[in-house]
Amino acid sequence: MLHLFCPYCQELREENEFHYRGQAHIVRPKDPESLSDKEWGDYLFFRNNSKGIHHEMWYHVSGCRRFFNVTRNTVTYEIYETYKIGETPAVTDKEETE
Amino acid sequence: MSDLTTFEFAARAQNTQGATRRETPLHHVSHQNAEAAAVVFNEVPFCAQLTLRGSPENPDFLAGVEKVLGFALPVQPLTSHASDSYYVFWISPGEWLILAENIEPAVIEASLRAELTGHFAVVDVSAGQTLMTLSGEAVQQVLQKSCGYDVEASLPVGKVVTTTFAKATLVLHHQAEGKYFLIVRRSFADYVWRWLVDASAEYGLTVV
Repeated sequence: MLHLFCPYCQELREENEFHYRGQAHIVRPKDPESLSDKEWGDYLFFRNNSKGIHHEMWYHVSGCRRFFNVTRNTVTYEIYETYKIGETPAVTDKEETE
Repeated sequence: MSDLTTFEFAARAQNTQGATRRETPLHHVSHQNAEAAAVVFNEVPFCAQLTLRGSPENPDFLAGVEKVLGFALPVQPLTSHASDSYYVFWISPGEWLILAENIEPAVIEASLRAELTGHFAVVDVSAGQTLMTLSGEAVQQVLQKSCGYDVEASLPVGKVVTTTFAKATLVLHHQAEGKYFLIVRRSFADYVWRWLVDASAEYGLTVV
């Protein structure tokens, strides 16, 4: 079981208090009308399937009911950090930032 | 078949008592109290419960609430504050649960609405959830069986956490040494009660 540090409760809690909510930092396009079908499809349906560092969203559903972000290694399940919505991650993949 | 359905609806609608009958979510429970009881259970009937939402960064909001309650809102995570009339629990950033045993929820709501302006929310949730208290020698063992949360090490007196209990979500508050508040949705009340009966069987359960 994962132990996640909720940045709002400021406490480590067990995984069963949380829900996984997919990849983080997906920004809704400002003007969807002007997008091609491919771009809109990418926004709606296509997600990274990275091996290694992954930024993902979690929901503290049985606690403070807030969404927050987690940087997790998809290979080792190591959690590098958790941070509030709107904050930028401190741990990033080299390729990702380039 | 249809007669029976009609009959029940008609009886409810007419309400022969002439007044609305209030029932707590656990009004139906009965229990053979154990002789040597190490777990003491109590449902506090009809206490006022209100959800208050607003920004902790808004000084007007904080001042307005303080004027009604008589003390400042606990803005630090997982903290609570109790006075003679009120308990206030931090639930989430910008969300608090106000509890009062002797004041009508409508009165609290009206006085908050009179003081607050702008972006805030006050919702009377008294009928939607219920307050149970748990105490006794073995209370900690029972809670440790029921929660993943480390009740012994991480829940000192005064702290409040929203966590999972059995498979329900509830607000757990360490009210006084060896005495805990459990606030649960009314639809989960019976489930939590049955769980407690089972979990306390080895220690002995008394309902007061």
